[in-house]
Amino acid sequence: MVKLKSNDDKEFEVEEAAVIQSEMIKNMIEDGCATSVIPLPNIDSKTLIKVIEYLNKHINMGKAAETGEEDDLKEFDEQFVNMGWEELFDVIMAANYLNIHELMELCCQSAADRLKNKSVRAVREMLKITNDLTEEEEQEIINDAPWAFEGPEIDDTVN
Amino acid sequence: MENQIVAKIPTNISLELQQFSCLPDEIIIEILLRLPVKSLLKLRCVSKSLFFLLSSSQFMKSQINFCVKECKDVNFRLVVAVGKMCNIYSLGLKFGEVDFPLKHPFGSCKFLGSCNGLICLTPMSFKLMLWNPCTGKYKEFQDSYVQSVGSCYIRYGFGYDVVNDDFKVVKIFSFAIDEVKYENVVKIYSLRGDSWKIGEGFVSGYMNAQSGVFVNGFLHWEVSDCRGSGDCSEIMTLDLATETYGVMGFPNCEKGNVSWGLSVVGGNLVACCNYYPNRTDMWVMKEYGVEKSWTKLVSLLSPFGRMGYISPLFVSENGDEILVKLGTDISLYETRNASYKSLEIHSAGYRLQVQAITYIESLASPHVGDDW
Repeated sequence: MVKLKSNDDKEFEVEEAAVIQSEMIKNMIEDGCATSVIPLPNIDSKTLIKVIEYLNKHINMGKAAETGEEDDLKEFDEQFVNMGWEELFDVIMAANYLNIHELMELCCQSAADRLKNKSVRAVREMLKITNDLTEEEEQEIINDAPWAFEGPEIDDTVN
Repeated sequence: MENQIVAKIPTNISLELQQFSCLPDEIIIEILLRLPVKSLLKLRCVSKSLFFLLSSSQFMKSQINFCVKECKDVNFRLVVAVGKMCNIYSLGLKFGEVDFPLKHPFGSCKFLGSCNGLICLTPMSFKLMLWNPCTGKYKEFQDSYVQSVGSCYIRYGFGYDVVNDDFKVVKIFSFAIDEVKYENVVKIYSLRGDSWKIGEGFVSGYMNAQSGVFVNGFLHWEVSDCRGSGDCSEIMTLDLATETYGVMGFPNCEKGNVSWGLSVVGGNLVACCNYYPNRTDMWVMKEYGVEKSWTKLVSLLSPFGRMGYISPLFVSENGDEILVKLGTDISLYETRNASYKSLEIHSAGYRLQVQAITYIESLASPHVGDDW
C-alpha cells in the first residue's frame, strides 16, 4: 500500500498496482522515495478521491481485454467524465501533475468533445471567458473562415 | 515541466474550483489539440488570448503533429475533382457524404501529392499551388523547367522536411539514355525559400507513377528496369531532409504479368501488386524501411470484372474498408464481404477525367512565417 496526502491534510491508502499508473509516483517508488506518506500539495481531497477511483478501476488495464471487461471500463470512463467543467479541470490538473497518461487523455478528450460543436457565445459562457475582441476584430476573424461559423451542428446551448 | 505548472498555481487555488482561463497554456493546448480544425477556426473568435494561442505557429505545428500521429478516420477527407467540379467528402463515420462543395478556384487541375494537410496541385500550365482545403489558404508559384533538346518524362513529389521545417516539391525530368535507363535531372522547390534549386541528379530505370508518395520524411517512386514487368521493379527513395537517394525492395510477388503501384495509408507505405487482368494484392510496410515487414493486407478483384489497376486512396483504422480508385471510378471496398460500394461522383453521367486525393485536416499553412 502507498499513502497519499492531499493538500487539505487527508490521507488515502492506495494499492501499489493502482498508484503506479502515475508515472510520477512510480518513479518515486522506484527511487525509494515513497517509504512514508507522499504529500500532494497541488491536489485537494475531493479531486484526489476522483483520481483514486479512476486508478482503482483501471488497475491491471492490460488484462481487461482478455477478460472481456473492456465494455465495462468504457462505460465507467463515460460515467467518470460526467462532471462539471471546474471539477473536470481539477482532475486534468491532477492527472497532469501525477502524470497519469490515460486519465489525462480521457479528460482532455471529454473537454474537447463538449466544446466541439458549441457556438462562440456558448463557449464563452461555459468557460466563463470574457470577450475582449472588438466587433471589428470579431468580424475579421469570421471573414477569414466564414464556413467555420456555419453549419447545422452548431449548438448554442450552454452545458 | 512539473515545476512550471506548480509555479503557475497560486497556493490557495486548491480548495477552489479551477477556471479555464487559469489553466496553464500547455493544458489548454492539450484540450484544443483534440478538436477538429473547423472548431479551432471558430474558437479563434472567443477571446484575444485564444485567438493568439490558436494562431501561433507553435500551436499550428503541434496540431499537425498531433493529427498526423493520431491518424483518425474522422480527420481524413477525400477531394474529388471531376472536370471543373470539385467536392470534398468525409471519410470514416459519414462516408461518402459531401462535406462541402468547392467553388473550384483553379479550373481543371491535377493533384500531385498530399502531405500534413496540404495538397500540391497544378491549377494550370506553368503554375503550381499548395492548398489547405480545410482552412482555404493557398499559395501559387511558378513551375520550373530545364532547357533541353530531347523530350522527357516529368515526375513530381511533394512532402515535408522535418529537419528544416519546410515543405518541398520535387520535379524530376527523365531523359531516356537507352531502352531501360534514364538520366534524371532534379529540381527542388523549398516553400521556406520560395525558390527552386537544382538537386543532385541520378540514373534509374523507368519511373512509373506521375507523383511520388510521401512517407516518413521520404518520397517514393516505383522504378522498373524493364518496362511492363514487375519482376525487376524497386522503390527509389529520396530523403527530403538530406536530399539523398536510396533504394528499397518490393515484397515478393508471384511471377507473371505484374505492375506495382505505391500509396500511403495510415502513415505506412503501401505497395499494390496488380496482376493482369484484374487482381490486386495490397501490401503494407509495417515498419518503415524494414523490407521483412511487408505484410499482405488484402487481395482484391476489380469491381464489375473490369480490367484495370486499382490504386488505394484510404484504408480505415480497423482495416475493414479500403477506398480505391479504378479508372474514373471511386469505390469503397469492404473486406468483410468483399463488396464494392461506388461513390456517386458522376452527376451528369459523364465519364470525365477524375482526380482524387485524400488529406488529413490540419492547420498547416502554405505561407511561411504566416501564423496560419
